[in-house]
Amino acid sequence: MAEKHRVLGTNRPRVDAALKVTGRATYLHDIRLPDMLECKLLKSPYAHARILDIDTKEAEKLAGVRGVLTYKDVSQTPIRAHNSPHHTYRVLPKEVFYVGEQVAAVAAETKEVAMDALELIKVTYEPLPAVFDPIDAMKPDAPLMYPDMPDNLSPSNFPIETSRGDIVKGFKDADIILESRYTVGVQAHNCLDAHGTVCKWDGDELTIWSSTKFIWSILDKVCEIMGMPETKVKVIAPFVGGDFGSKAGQIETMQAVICATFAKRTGRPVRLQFTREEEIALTYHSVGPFIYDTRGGVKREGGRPTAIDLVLHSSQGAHNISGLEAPYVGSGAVAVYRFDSCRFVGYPAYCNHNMTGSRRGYGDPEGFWCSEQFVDELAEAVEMDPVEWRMKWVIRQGDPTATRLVWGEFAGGDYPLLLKKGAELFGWKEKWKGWGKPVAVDGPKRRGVGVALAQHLSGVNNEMGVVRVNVDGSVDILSHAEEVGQGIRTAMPMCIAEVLGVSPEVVRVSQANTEFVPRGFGVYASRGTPLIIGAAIKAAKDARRQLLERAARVLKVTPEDLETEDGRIFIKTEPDKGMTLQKAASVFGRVGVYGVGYEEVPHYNPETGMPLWEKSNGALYAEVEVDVETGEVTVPMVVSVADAGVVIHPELAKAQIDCSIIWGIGYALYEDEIYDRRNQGRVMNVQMVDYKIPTFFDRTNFVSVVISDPDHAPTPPLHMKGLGENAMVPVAPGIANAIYNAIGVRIKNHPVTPEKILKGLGKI
Amino acid sequence: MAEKCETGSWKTIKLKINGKGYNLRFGDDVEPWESPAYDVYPWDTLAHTLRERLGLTGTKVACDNGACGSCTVLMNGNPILSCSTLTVDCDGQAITTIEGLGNPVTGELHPIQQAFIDHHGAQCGFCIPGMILSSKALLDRHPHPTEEEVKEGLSGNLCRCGNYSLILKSVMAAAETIRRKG
Repeated sequence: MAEKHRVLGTNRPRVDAALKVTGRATYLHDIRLPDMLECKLLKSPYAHARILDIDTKEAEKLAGVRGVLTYKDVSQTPIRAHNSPHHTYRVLPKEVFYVGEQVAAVAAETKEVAMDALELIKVTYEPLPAVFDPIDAMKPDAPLMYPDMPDNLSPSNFPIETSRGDIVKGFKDADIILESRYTVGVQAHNCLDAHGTVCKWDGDELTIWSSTKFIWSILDKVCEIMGMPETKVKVIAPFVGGDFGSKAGQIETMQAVICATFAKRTGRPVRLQFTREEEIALTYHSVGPFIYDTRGGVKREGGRPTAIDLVLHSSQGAHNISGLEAPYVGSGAVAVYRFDSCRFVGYPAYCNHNMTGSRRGYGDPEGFWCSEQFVDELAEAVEMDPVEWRMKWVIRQGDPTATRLVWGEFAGGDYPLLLKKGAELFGWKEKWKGWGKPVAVDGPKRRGVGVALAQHLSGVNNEMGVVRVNVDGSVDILSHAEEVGQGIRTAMPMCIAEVLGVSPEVVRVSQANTEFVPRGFGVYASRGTPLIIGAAIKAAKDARRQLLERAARVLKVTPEDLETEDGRIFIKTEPDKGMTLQKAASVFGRVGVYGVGYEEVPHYNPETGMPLWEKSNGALYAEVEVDVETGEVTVPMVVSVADAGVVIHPELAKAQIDCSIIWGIGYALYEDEIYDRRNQGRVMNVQMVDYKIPTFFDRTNFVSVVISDPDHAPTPPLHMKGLGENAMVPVAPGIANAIYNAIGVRIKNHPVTPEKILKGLGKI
Repeated sequence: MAEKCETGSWKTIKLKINGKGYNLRFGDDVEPWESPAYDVYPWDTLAHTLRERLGLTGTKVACDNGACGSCTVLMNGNPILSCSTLTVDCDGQAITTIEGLGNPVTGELHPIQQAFIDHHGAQCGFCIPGMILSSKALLDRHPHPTEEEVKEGLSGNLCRCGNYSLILKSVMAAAETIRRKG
């Protein structure tokens, strides 16, 4: 495993950097087609209502309007949710389930005219009763949102439950049993590049450009809803200005069907670009709110954890575009420590507020908000240092752990190593004074420290890769690899160059275009590195094998006798004898070489047959300063240690952790969508000035370390893991634990606002 | 503010953008989709004119509400929010957009742009044009900023990727390069 790498581990400039710093990178936002119409949506003012009729005559008459669409004009086939058999979201529905859901669309010569026309559309609604709380939603008298879902719970996925060991015995064995309720709010992705789509027809062929991280999702859904074969539709992703889980294809499909329908009717290209308000209130946010009722037991002797029981009520919003998976993923929170027994039960209920779906960490920031604070409660109960307790009871290689309710073996990680490294860098031993003892007190300012562990899955599903070695020796990777900022289009050529023994400068990643790239999934679930790059690496290995076979025939040796380096193939024992890669690619007719690869997760332990859960792992230490007069919290220092397997690009990997800390600080302290439950559950903070995101001032002293741990590296192709989500997971609970250390009051309701701190301290 | 001339015809708005002069026809008595449409309507923001009329799409609009700084351009060297500035109010002014940095003939980049490449300042890149123009305005005024001054100077520019560490590093490195070049 301790191979020497030539390209991996270097800090090359990003391949897109020059375009991005000169303003020449094309985002959806920048696509202008001649004669293009602009589109705007009319949105529901009701949390729940049936649409009895829509009168569009006046709107259609307005000068500059080129068309109006309602439910009468588009298919009522739902837009499929991932990972769920239950699909409720429609392009233009007959019944609306949250304030802000689209009810009609206008295409016009300018967006101003389109917006004026929206005001002329007359909708007759029949308002229906609504429910906003996931516990209320399950009560017998609660208004039912979907007739096929009793108790507002999805029948086919219920109950969500998993357990291990004998939990009754676990609680019987415990010396101390604690109970706690933790709640978690919802985070808006709030990408600067809001969702947008452009559609254009050429005869009966439709081209869709969309700001998306998942072109194949859009292709499948548009083909299904519009009844078109895949060969008549192509979906292209330009540069995407941020994703964080928000662009998984459902919103884009809604936009695409509307644009395509208008484009067909008018014979002109059509664009639908969301405003900031639509980006926050119409699209989905992280799944939630979550309410965790937690019960756990420990023995005094060594703090042995005997049982943990998590019961989760979570709101899925009006539609959950990613299925019911977030509570599954969040269930991993019970599987990080060696509890003698554990149980997790989830009740995901639909509610009449805006949609939910995937967001950086997907269920784990929520689960660990609860579990990492709760294990601190357990450690305090047995008077153990929280780092020592974790060090002692965290899972090791081979221990049982679960991903999405499926139990397997923990593999490819070393938590004690991460904990130890972080503690040293942070100076935990010097700073930690004990339970109930702040690190420092200076007037109203109290300093505290906290620790949290994290995990997140590293990839799901499978992926195809195709690599073409061209006759001039350059290399094309045919891949969707949507570039949302994470740097996949920089990392991918580095890995392929490593395998083929060429310079990364001669390797190119194709446009993300469904017409010619191999089928796959999107850049979500930290799957870009292990799967999309993983499949391409296998394709490169396949191409390399073919090149060596060709060279061997010419050189009259066997492929095993050959080696590649610097664009050359040569005989290992006689390095002077060989040929260029270019020659090998063109030696038997000028057709180049195509390599094909396939990769999937999980890998399995060949001996036990159990899935190997090679997750992304992390440990985080935070120091906070709390002003007990104002409730204000600052985060002067964070140390985050993450395990990435083999690191492709150290600077970009480190940046993923740094940025996750920034995200985590916003999430811990202030990011939350605020619903007005007395006013149809509308989101009140729908602008950047109301929904605050971190600024330069949240950037303080971060120490981000990416560990490449050869002894516990995951399985091939290149021993790499995803990183960008896991590092977000421990930030908020680490900060919350530090706040508790500073002020002696545990704030269990996320986010930890000054108001909650002052209330907790009994000051207001 | 451009006003109707005595002859009754509408005024021309003169802008100098990235060193190039533009004479833009201003009016509102022909619909934007009719011919000949005006270049600038009274309600057009500078961001709209740059992006939709002049094809300078390097300037990004993210919040369209003056809160995120993505649309920052320079007017006579000062950073302004082009999403919240009417084009008609820019008559006679000199505007610099991201397309105007560096040398378009030689392809040489401005030291700030080069530093953002060298230090991985851009992730998704959407905030970067605004970030670079705010940095230029800052460094033109304060060639020797401390990290705190850079944070203060760029506090109106939001990066949702959260890449503040490397943006800070890029700007500090650019300041150093500019100092060395004198």
